[in-house]
Amino acid sequence: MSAFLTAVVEVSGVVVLGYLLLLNTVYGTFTLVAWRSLVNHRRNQPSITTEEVFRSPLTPPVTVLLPAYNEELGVAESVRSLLQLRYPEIEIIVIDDGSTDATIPRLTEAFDLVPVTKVIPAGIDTRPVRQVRRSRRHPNLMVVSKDNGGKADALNCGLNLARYPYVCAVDGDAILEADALLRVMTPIVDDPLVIAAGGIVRIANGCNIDHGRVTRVSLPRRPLPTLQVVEYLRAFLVGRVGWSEIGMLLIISGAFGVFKRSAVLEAGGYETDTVGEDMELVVRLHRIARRNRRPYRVVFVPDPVSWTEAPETLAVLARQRRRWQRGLVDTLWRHRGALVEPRQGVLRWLAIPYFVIFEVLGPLIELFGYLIIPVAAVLGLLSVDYLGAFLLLAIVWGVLLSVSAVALEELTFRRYPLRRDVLRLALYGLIDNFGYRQLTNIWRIRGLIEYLRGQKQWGHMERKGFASSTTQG
Amino acid sequence: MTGFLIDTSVALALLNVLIAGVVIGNRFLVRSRQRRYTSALQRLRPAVLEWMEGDGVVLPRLEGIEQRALLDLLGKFGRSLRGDQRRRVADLALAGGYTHDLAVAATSRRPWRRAAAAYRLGDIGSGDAELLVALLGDDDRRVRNAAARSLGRQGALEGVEPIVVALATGRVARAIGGQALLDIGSPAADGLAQLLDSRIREVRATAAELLGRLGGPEHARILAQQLNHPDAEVRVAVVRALGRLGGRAAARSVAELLDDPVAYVRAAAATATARLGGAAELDKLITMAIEDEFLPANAAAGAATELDPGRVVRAAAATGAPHLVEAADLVTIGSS
Repeated sequence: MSAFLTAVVEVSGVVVLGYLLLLNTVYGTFTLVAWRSLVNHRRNQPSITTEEVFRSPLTPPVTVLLPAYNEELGVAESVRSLLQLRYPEIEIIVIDDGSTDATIPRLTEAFDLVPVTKVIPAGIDTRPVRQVRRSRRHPNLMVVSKDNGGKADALNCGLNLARYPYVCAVDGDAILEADALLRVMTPIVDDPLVIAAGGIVRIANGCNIDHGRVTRVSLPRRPLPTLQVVEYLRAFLVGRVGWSEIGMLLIISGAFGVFKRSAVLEAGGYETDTVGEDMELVVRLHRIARRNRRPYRVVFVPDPVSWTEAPETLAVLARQRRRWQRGLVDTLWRHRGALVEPRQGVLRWLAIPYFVIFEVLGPLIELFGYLIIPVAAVLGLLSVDYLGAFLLLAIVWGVLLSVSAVALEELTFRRYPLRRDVLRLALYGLIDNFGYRQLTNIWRIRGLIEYLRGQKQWGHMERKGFASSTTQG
Repeated sequence: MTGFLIDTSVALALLNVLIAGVVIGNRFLVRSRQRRYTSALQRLRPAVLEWMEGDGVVLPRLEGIEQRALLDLLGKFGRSLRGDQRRRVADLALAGGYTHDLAVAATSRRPWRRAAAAYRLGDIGSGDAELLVALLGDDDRRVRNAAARSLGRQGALEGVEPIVVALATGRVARAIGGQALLDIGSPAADGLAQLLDSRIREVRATAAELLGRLGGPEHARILAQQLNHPDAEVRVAVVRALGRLGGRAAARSVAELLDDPVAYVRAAAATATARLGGAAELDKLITMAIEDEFLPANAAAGAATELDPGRVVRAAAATGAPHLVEAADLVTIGSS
């Protein structure tokens, strides 16, 4: 029995250690790739032609879609930020997905909306539209009220109504920087093969927001949103940049992404029966283009910023992470066919396997490691020295990745002007491996279990809203 | 094994400390550099303004952060000025040897350096058309875009044909190459007219669209000849261009496309008809708004509203046609 247990523990140790080695090697490689990409991006800033894109009448116009469900606290500020976007020609469509709060009254009051008749073109099937309103003050603002059908259904409704060749999907609580659309559109203007582009999402908690604009950037005061700042830096400046560099960006955040409307319509729009509609759409766009041997690009642009409100309580954060995980697993399951489909290239042999191994199974393996190794030590099957060394390596390596992400931010964009914020970021990069990482792994495992049990609801996201914010978080 | 794990951990921990040190140290460095840059800007601004007004003297050649501040200052002025004052900017850059530096940088091995040089020449250079035209043939797209942009900024007539060719072959971004031609102005129109015969559909469409913005009556005649082009994309671009150029003859030609077999051509023709003030087509537009399919019906309703809003409101009340009702609502709320 003892020999058997020893063998099990040894094999488990090898699996966990091997996983850790592989994961951190992949992340390390992405960090290097991202580093190179961001340095190039920065070097190219002096010659970036955003001003010409802004001045040119040939710049393609964009329809901004803002789905909103019970967003009474932040929606007016979000629309204000959209109205301030610096872009040659945009229309803004807010799609109220059957809100039960004061979303519509808030918008009506803020933008002087009046009901109008609107002929809705045939397109993707959606839940019925109840009413369309237009702003007397802003001719390019339209608010659509429809029966509740979920975020994807709201976006599909917006896609049907959009007049322009590109659509930009933003979240109901997002604050876009004035030049964010111009910057995210630059690679599309430059290369018509780009069918989708995503910008960076940053956490607004702690920032000052005035009339739809972030007027002062600083870190949240509370630890939980600050930990998420580090996490977002790692996800966007390392993960997304890295995947974009190898042409396999699978996630464009629902909070801020631009899509070629014809490509999305050809793909059938957003899937309405998933909570990961943003990732699912991008994966489907990849698959369709590859299946049809059509040259295309999906890119991440690191400087256009969409500010968003991060959860400030563990309960809300847990719900968000469980939902994200359900969306991820659902997307991968729906597209499992890509693994055996010819012409899918890196999508099938790198991107999908990566997400399955590291993003779906990863939390399981990691938690298994945290459990099995101390158990083995208690049973005397593993030396305490080995246990200590293993944990030390896991933590130091994790810290290195977080600190590297903070370094990438600091050496490229430097969005946090206060010195103490930089110190805090570095500190949080150090401590997010003690507890927070493990907690997120537990939530992700719970998300996986919920998915396996068939739970597909979005869940409720509590927001404080930007409306009265001077300093939050 | 344990020893290896510990050694690796120590190495990684040292790397962590190093990176954290770099992050913190960098913040101090950046601060100090920013202070020096801001102070250089403040110091140099009066001297540059004096020079721009024709009173100043040529500044001695600057290096490092001061040079960067001066070039940024000149670039800012160069972008916003025209005529003599723009020439003064270029003269100062030439006298300081900075234009020469940029010409050298434009041949650098590094694409970002070539692109930055090409871009800056558009703001502070003059008479660099030959070099910029050569850069339109660069392997790197950013360099080509920057070169096209700078040719436009310099108003270089020599740039028209190469930009048109670069647009035709998709070697510069449509918006940037197009804007460069718009910056050069009406002299670019003849080159664009030649592109109407291009074999590439997008090129013909782009040329027609730009001609609509740059051309004159003689170009309206050339464009009108393309109205029966077999390619619908070209017909749409031509209709839009004619809508901008105007003229009675154009209005008649455009109105013919209200019966085009392709829906989006009819839609474009309706919009152009409104721009051309084609009141004679009002009945036709209202009928289209009632009977045609979504896109042309919607465009026709909008066009009819521009021509005679009162008539649209009355027609909407009388017929209840959805597109007319939508247009009438917009009239009522004072939007369009």
